[in-house]
Amino acid sequence: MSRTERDDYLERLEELLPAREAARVRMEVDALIEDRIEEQRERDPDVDEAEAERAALRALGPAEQLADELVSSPLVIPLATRRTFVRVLAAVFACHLLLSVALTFAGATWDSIPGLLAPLPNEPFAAVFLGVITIFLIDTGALLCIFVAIGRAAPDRLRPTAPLHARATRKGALQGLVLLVLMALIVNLFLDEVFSVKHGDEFRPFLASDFKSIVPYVNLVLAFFALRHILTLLDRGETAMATAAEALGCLSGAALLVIAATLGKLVEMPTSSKLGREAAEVLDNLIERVFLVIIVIGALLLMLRFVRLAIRFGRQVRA
Amino acid sequence: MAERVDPRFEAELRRGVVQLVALHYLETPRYGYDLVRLLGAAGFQVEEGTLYPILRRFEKAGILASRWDTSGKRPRKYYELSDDGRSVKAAMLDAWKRARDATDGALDRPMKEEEAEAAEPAASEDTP
Repeated sequence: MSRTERDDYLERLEELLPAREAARVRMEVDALIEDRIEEQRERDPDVDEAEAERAALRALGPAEQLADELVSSPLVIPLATRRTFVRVLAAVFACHLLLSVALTFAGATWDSIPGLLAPLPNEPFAAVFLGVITIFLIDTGALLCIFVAIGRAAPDRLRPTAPLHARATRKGALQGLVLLVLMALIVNLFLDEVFSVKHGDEFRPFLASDFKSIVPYVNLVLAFFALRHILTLLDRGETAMATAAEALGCLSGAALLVIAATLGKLVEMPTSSKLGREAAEVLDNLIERVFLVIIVIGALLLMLRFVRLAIRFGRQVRA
Repeated sequence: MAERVDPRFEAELRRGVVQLVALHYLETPRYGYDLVRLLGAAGFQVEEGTLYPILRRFEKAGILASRWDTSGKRPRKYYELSDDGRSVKAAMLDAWKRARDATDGALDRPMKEEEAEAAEPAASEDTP
């Protein structure tokens, strides 16, 4: 006997339902289909059987929709869960990519976490592209597993992520500008005074010249954030342009931090009669490690913020 | 003007009520498609895809009892209101009557009377 649309429908329905209910539901739905076909035959004895069957299936609706109505947990993934998944994936992918790029710049040749975290190949282009795709696939797969596990254990925990929108106010913008001016002053005029160590009666700076060479680029990052606050002040609230400016600030800040982490030397502790070369090197190493931890955490936070701002910018532009 | 009414309005209005009417008809044992026909004749156009999940939900909740009748040319599943189901139906009927009376009362009352009633609590707050 050839398979009919009815057989396909019932089989699809059975596959979608929990095993303990599937056979029973199939029998009941089959009876409903048969009842409708019989009623059509009574009204019109010459009715086309296939068309009568199709009409009965239309009355039931798609198998997926019917199965969704019949099971206690939804088959169709709610919009909120999908949105959460996409946002978390964007953030995780951005951070994972950032770390891989940082490892590449640092010249690492080994996998930090085999199979999960490794430097990106930097040539040829096809290898770089495949490397990025691989990172995306790993993150997608890992998140899917986590979501399925959480979905089974505690479905209510999969709430939407925190709202993207944080109201920008003029007061906040003014405070932000003041803070940025202070940061600019420290970075451009008082860097050596702030990052210095006392030797005898004098304070001697300990930041390496490599590290200080990125100061002009820090000003660029600060300028993006300042632009965001200025736009907020002028427009009396947050606009898409302000969001874009902040997003660029976060992205450039993250990139700058990654570059800073891969510089040759961040710290050069000055030596003196009280601090020998060996002790100074140990201190260099210690302070550099602390700086690196701060840099990595800062870069990740900026990257996460960039992802949220990028999503918010997209929504503001579409609105 | 009737065509400007959102078609979902009537569907949503009927969605809860059709369950009550279905339970009413199931005081007598009936099979699924029989119930579809009865509801259709009463003005509630529902299809099997809508009714079947309702019947299954009621059956799982113990509101309906069911049995297969294999005496005919093919088996048919009959549903009937259970003892618990009768209490549930009575409660749903009370809820429907309350909603109906409240709606009728609100729609029948003149607008000015409602505005006066709404203003009364504010006035009593102002007076020392």
